[in-house]
Amino acid sequence: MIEPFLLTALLLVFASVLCLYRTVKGPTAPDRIVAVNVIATCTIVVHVLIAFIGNQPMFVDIAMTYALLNFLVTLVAARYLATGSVFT
Amino acid sequence: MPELFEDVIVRTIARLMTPFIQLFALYVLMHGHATPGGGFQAGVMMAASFILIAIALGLQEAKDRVKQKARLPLESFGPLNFVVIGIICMACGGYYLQYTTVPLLPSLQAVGAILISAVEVGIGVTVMAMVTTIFFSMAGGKHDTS
Repeated sequence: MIEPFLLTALLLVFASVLCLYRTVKGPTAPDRIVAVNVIATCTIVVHVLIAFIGNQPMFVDIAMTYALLNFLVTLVAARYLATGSVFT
Repeated sequence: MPELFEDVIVRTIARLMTPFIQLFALYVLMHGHATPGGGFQAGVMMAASFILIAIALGLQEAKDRVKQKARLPLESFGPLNFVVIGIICMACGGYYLQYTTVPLLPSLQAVGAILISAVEVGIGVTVMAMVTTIFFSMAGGKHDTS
């Protein structure tokens, strides 16, 4: 009987690999941005699950750093797509 | 030159998230000896909060919040702090950065923790000022001294 949390983490890793295909193959730039964003979200959840499975609370810190800084990445990429330059 | 990207959601979220990013950077800075992270990571996160301000609220707003007049001394503060603490350790009869020789407290581990934290704070402040300066230089605009 496999642990449910470990199974969830493995499924999320598999979902990240599927998103990686979209990142590489994606016909347009917004596809790639959304795919990278989904990979980041999966990474955050996998970090928290690893922290729970291995009983290592420091992984939650890394997940929080990811969560706080990925907003910035998406914002910059979306701004660049919308206006053609990051700064007006 | 097009108008600034006026979006209420982006501006509000950026203004709401900035203090939390800075608070988390301070947490990473002060817990650097026990958890992953430390001075450099905390400085980069603090700089990322200013980059977020520059993206969402405009470059001039970020330049007003961290002025060059404050950034330039802070860039030199970290190495100076490092050297001063190292030489204090030498003056107390140890090697360079041998914290346990400083007769600050009776507990040697407490002295080490305090001085390591002081060095980390210096590194964090320097990295914050340096990364912010590099970002403002790369962001272009007019070559003013603000």
